[in-house]
Amino acid sequence: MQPFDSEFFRAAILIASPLLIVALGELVSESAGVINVGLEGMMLVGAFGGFWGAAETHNVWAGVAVGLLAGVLLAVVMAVATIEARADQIVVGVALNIIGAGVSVFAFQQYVASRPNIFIKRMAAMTIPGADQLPLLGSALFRQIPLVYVGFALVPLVWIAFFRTRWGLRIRAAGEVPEADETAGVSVRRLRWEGVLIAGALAGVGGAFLSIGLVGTFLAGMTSGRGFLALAAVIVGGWRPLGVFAAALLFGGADALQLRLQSQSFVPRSVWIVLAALAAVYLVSTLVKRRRGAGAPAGAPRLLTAGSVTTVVILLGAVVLGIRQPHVTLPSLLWLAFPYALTIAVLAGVIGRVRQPAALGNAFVRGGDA
Amino acid sequence: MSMAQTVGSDRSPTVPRLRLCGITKRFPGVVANRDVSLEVHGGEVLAILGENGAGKSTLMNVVSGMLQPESGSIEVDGKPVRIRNPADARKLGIGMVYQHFALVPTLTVAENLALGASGTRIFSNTRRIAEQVTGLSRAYHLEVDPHAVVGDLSVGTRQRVEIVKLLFRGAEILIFDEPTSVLTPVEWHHLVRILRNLAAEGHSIIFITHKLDELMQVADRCTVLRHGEVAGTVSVAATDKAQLARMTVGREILFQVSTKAARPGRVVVAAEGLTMRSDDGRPRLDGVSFELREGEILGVAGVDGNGQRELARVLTGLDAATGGRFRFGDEWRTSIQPIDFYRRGGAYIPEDRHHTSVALELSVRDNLLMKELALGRMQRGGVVSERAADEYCTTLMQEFDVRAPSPRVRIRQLSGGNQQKVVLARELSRTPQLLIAAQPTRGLDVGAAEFVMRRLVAEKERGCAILMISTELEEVLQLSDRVAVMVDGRFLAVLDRQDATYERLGLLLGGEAVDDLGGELTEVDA
Ligand SMILES: Nc1ncnc2c1ncn2[C@@H]1O[C@H](COP(=O)(O)OP(=O)(O)OP(=O)(O)O)[C@@H](O)[C@H]1O
Ligand SMILES: [Mg+2]
Repeated sequence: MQPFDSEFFRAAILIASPLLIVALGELVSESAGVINVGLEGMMLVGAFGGFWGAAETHNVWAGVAVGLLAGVLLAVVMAVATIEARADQIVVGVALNIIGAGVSVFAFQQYVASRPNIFIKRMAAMTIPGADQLPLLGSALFRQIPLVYVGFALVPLVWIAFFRTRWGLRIRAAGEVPEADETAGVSVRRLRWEGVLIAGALAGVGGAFLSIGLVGTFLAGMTSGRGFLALAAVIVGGWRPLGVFAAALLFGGADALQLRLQSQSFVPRSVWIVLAALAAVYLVSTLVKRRRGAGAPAGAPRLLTAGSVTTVVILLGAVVLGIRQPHVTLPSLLWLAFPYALTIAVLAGVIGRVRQPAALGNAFVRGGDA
Repeated sequence: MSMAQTVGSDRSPTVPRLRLCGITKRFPGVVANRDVSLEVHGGEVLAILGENGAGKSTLMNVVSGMLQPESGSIEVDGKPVRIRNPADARKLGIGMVYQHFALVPTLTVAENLALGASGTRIFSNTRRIAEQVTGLSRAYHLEVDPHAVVGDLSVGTRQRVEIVKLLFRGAEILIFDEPTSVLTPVEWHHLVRILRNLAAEGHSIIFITHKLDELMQVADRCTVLRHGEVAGTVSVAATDKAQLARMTVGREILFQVSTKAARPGRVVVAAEGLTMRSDDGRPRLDGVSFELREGEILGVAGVDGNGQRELARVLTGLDAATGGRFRFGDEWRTSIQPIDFYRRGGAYIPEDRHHTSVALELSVRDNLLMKELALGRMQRGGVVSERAADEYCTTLMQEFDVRAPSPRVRIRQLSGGNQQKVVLARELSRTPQLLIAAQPTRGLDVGAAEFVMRRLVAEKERGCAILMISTELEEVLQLSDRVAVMVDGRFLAVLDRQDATYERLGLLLGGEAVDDLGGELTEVDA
């Protein structure tokens, strides 16, 4: 079913993975109460660090390690400024984006000037023999570079850490009611440091994923907004590991689809069918939820919310377009914008419905309240 | 101290469990504690009394490791100790229940406890903790369900969760900072019983309060702070409310505010079948109708969370009603813009100080000015008239006795009671036509509470219509001309002053429970 073939799924998962890795790190940081909008900058230094490490050592894993360290380095700046000096988290994050963009390009130019013929080998795919022959999802799940598996392994890891370990409880408390940690004799400062460093490390790995795993070289600004997509994925995922996982897959899918459609003169019918199906699923699930959640004897739940109306419009539109099949040729730049436009749409739908950690963005001062 | 068998029975009963010597703590511009010494023994409930800003919370934050004193020493069981952070305090068996609870609402009770569990386990063992909670809960009649999500619990239950938390962490010295300002009478009686039980087991309890009746019921001794210094320590059995009040504020306090019968004028606000549903469709406000006239106080009595908050929010324009209508002025409507509410002479004292009534990070001055500025006063061409504003603030701060080093300090740095006074000053200074006052005296010391009650009566006699929402029956009964009893989002009854007795109100609010607990309470005391 064009364009949803096994190659599409493979691309979707490959694209989703760096996003997933970065978003999971950000999830930890935000759960601890520090919002890190500097992901983009951290990814960029990670991407360059990865490139440099891999080029110098001829070992992709050494490259990943260098990328990780580069991300951690920026995270230290973030932690010192926001946790120790209690600077505004957003301002510091924005500054880090600018620094990351500048530093990575500068370092790359210097490096390439001194080593003109430098190149790196892309990380090779790792195949699970047999399993990768499965139809449709086989190659998507079992013929990918190892970093993809790392991303997938992180999901249950973060989930267990969050919901089954004491550290996870403490991290979540630090972002909700930091006083609860502090009065328990647990240092909020330390927890937040841990959160910020983890976010930095994973953003670095995510950046290295791009240079080592996806492209095979470093390019200025090669993250092209993926740091911000990761930020959005945390929100869309409702600050839960599985939600973040789903959000990353959604964006990966959108990006892979966009890449596919760029080269075609019309949008295949199956795309409209999938869109209509997604809208229908969403509509039904919200209706069911509202029916069940209400439980109130009096007063029917409101059906005509902005969300449900929009969804119905999308559904009908998709059906009509699926039947008519118009020829749309968009300039490729507009296609490129598709995942981002989708992000904005999903964010608009999701905001107000998910609850962010109560103390997110607030500096913590011991004994601050009279 | 023959009772002190379970806790610390190996220790000498003559050595105080906790002793503070010469504690001094300064903040920029104020000395919050000056050379404070006090002691508390095992098996004893020590009350700490003092004006707003006297330094009670600060002193307890020093004991619990949240703040470091400039000088002075602390002894636990006769041994000098250093408490550099809350972890140190915890190791010494000191635990504190804060004015704003330190519980994570999104976690369950057991998970909240697991947060602070000691040891090196990686995985949180919530099942075992849950068993321990059940055990403690049974031993001290705390009635806490370990699997409940904290956010779903009532304030009284959350407080008992805090107590379980402290006991779970092995606390033997338990500190309560104004624990009762949010409790219903039933919950208060429950708490008294718990505290006396704990003391009987040998725990030491320090209890900060402004309510003298409660103090008399629960405490053995009382230390009074004034302006950061110890004004004296008395045995509760050998004193009375009048003396305690005199020690606290340095003057006589009349516990009765005299109020003339109302001479109601025209109707200022009226509501017909006001209804408000929350997003999930549950009614929070369920057909409330009333009329409120010039020169009268309508008291709304009820347990917290029965729609009082929603009623106030609809009338002041913070929320819109989903059914019914009301009017403030001539037009009937279902909602009002907050600015219109203020333009028409409305004033609002919200119950929730930290979220609705003040901006914590702004200065006292800005907090005092914000509504004036919104109404277009104190400015010329959109620029604040500094002189007029400063003068205005200074006058108000004097009149309402707001204790702050300067009008320019952030309001966060004021003591709880002084923050409340800023709100009162801002709202009452505009000679309102309609005043909606929710828990107006919450957190105020006896002197300030008396002052506020007088002010409310004076406003009423001037002709202001007052809707006073309070969980404290005494307060409602003293001031109201009529009393509405609010249960489940409805006015169950609206009683005239002479019909509204404590017993009748208690009964309407589900008062059998009060008597039940009262009965058991006397048994424990005996
Ligand atoms: N973090 C702070 N920074 C600056 N000043 C502070 C701070 N905390 C308290 N103060 C000041 O210290 C003094 C004592 O405050 P404290 O909170 O201990 O009073 P309190 O006795 O608890 O009063 P209340 O009964 O109103 O709660 C007040 O003048 C207050 O303004
Ligand atoms: Mg206080």
